[in-house]
Amino acid sequence: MQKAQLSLDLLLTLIVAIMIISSFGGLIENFRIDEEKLLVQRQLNDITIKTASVITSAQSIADTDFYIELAVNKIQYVDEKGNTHNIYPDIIVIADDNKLAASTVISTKSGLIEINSSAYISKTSNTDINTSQIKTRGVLVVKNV
Amino acid sequence: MYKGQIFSTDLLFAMILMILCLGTIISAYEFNLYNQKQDTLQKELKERTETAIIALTNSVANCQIEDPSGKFISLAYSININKITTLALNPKILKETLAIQDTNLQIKLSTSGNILAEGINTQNIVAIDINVITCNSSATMKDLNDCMTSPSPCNNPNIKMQTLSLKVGQ
Repeated sequence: MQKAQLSLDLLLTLIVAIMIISSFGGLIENFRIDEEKLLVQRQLNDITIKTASVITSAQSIADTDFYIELAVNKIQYVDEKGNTHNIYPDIIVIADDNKLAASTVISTKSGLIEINSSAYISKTSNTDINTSQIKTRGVLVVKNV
Repeated sequence: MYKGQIFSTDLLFAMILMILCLGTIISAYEFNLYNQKQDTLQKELKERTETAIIALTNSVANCQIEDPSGKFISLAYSININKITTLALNPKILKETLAIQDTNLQIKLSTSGNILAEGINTQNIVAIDINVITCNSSATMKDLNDCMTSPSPCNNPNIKMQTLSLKVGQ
C-alpha cells in the first residue's frame, strides 16, 4: 500500500454499501406505497360494506315511506409529496349483479393507482338508491319510491 | 489476509448475518400485512352476517300475523318456519336475498333443527346466535297475545321462542 492509496477492500465495501442503501430506499418506498394502498383499500371496503349493509337492512322497512340520507366518509391518504388528501369515493350501483361498487384514485411515486371495492346488496324493487349527491353533499340517498 | 484477497471470513459472516436479519424483518412485515388482511376479511364477513340476520328475521322470512281488523302485522326478529323451509329449498335465491351469495350458509333453529346445512370448509367463518320468535303460517293474533301474557316459556303450538344460529363461511 502506498500513501493515500484506496484499498480494494474499502472500494468493494463502499460499492456494496451504496447498493444496499439504494435497494433499501426502493424497498422502503414500495412498503410505503403498499401501506398507503392497504389503508385506502380498508377505508373503501369500510364504506362499501357499511353502505351495502344499510341498503340490505332497508328491506325490513320497505313497506313504509322511508327516506335515508347516509353520510359517506371521505377517503384520507398521504401522497408522494407528503400532502394529505380527503376525497369522496365514486360509488355506483351495478343493478344486474346486485352490487355496490366504489372506487378512488390515489397519487403515488409510481403514478396514479385506482383502488376498487365492491359489496353485494339486496333490495326490493321499489327501493331507489341515489349516488349523485356524494361529491356535492357527501350523502347517499336510499328511499322508497 | 493475503495480498489481493477480496473476501475475509469476517466479511462473509457479517454478510450472512445481515441477510438473515433482513429476511427476518421482511417476513415479519409480510406476516403483519397478512394478519391485517385476514382481520379485515373477518370483520367484513361479521358485518355482512349481522346484516343478513337482520334481513332474514325482519323481512325475508319473518312472521306476518293478521290482526282482528284484517291488517297484517310484521313481527321484528321472528321466523316463519313454513316460509324459511320453502326458501331453504333454493339456497341460491335465499342467499341473494340476504346479499351473501358468495358464501356458504347454515341455518339452524334450536328446537326445529337444521333448516339449511351447506358444507363449510373455509377458514373464514362467522357464526351468530340470536333469540327469535318462531311461528307457523296458521299463527293468529290470539296465539301471539296468549304467548305474551303466559309465563315463559310459551307453550303455544303455533308460536315458540327459539335460538336461531346462522353460520356463514367464505
